[in-house]
Amino acid sequence: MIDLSQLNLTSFIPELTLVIGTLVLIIRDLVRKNRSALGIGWGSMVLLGALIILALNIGARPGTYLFGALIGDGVAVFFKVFFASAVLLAIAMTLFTFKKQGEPYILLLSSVLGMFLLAGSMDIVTLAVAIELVSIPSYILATYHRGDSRSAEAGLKYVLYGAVSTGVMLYGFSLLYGMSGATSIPDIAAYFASADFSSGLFLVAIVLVLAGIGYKIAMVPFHFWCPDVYEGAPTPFTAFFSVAPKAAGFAALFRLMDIFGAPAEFAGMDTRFLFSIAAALTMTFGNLGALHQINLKRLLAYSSIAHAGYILMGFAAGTHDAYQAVLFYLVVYLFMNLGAFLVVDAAGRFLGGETTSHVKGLGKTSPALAVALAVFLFSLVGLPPLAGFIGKFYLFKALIAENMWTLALIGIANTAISLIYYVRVIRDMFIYEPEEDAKSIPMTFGLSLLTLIFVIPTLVLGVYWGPLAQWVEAAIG
Amino acid sequence: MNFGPIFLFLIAAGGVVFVALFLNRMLAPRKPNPEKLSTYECGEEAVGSPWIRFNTRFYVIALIFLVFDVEVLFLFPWAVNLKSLGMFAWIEMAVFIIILSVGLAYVWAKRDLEWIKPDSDEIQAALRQSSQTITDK
Repeated sequence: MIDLSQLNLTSFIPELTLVIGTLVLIIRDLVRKNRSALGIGWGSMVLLGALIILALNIGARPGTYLFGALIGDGVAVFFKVFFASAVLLAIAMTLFTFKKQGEPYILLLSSVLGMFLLAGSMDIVTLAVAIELVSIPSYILATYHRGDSRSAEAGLKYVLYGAVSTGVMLYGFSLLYGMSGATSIPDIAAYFASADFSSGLFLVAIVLVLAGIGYKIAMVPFHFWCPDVYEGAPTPFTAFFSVAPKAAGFAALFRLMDIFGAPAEFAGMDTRFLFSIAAALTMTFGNLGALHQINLKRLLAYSSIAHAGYILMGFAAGTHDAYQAVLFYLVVYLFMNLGAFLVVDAAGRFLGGETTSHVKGLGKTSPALAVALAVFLFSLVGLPPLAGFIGKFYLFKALIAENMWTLALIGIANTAISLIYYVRVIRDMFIYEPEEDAKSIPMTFGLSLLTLIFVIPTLVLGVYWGPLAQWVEAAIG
Repeated sequence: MNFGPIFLFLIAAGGVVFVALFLNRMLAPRKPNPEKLSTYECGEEAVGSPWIRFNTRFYVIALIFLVFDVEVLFLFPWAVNLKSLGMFAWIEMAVFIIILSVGLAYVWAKRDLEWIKPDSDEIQAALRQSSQTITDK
């Protein structure tokens, strides 16, 4: 007989609301008579707004639910609010491009369900299913420009690499299960913290798991799909890929850190060393790759690889403060990266392309958007007084508190490298004159509002970040 | 846990395949002729290369089939154990089937159950073109 007292279905209300809401929207989309799908988009945004409120109120109930598969701790609530907000903003960007199809909104919502499950998963089986639920809608979204061969290529690359990475990760999970005989993450961690196990096999298992998650977060050397997919996919979805599924990978990594960090040492290594190498490689390759890009979507793809490297530095330090810095950085990254993609998307829709030559002289033709993009790019570099600076400051502070000077210096050197390619875009926008027949981007109400939604946090969090820091601190607990 | 027996089983399984193929090669007479070397296609004579483009609708139909195949896979063990599992399992399966039926409704409404989508402009155009080429010949 099933012990229903372990179910705690009240804690599951946000996810249930999401499932029911998504089903209602699917049916609404099927029976709609008019050609416009904007109603579905607005409906999804209302649903996600409701989810943020629900997650803040109900998600914080302590303890596990669904038979120990999910937990409602502070970090789960943080990630749920983060994912719902990220997808809410991504949907707002999607409304510009996809006015007739309802499916993109529904796919984004299914992806959110996977992210919600991932945020609280305490079991490697739940974790694996949740990661797939995040990934599979992303594969479809990448191909959404039908008839465009680059979009088709992006989708195919994404699905093939994604399938391989999932296979590799599941093989790692199976080794962990084979050694410990448990699927629950705390049980596995307890086994590796105490028993004398084969440390070589443990190293193989966690490298496989790390490789699988490394694909999702575009960690070097598993990053090579990322620029092609980001370039080929429709820009609103690229913006979504660069924030939501990436943060989902970090959420998974956060849950698995208990296992990774359980043994003090294995096969002559420790977790800190493994993550330091991954972080250093990811930052360096990401930034070096971005140096020669002229397509802004590719440039931002490499920049997002580099940012995954910065965030991995926090995992390398692995302290309380470092995880707070990671969560803080993710929030800052959400606003500045989505903002940068918003301007690139507008350039793609109105100026005919996304290369640096298309935005040449943007400072003259569309000054507001050019200034906004400059703010986002300077924030991505990490220049004060913008939010990116505070995010990087917390990360480096956590590293230096642990005396990880080498990694911190590599990070600072990388920040300096990144200045080159971000500033080159800004130079193209402001120093050069626009072409004779250059078109300008019409500042519609929606575009202005959305730009402000991204610019204001990027500016404000650079000077007044206390409330966010407190919220993140409370989430880590 | 002890995985020794499984490892031995793997070695034995691999060995059996190897030995069988090796013995076959040693013992079997080999007198090839064109008839024997031709591709076997259910007794039909092979026409053309199999490396052609398939209509993507095959995949759609296969996917729809797969979903309901998996549903049946879940239903069988559930049906056998329903008495001991009780009301909770019944509700869970009901939820599962409701979600699947929304999927079926979607496929149906999008006319993916029909072999040729009658409302698709591209297919109509392709059909007109192919009938045009036939009449031209």
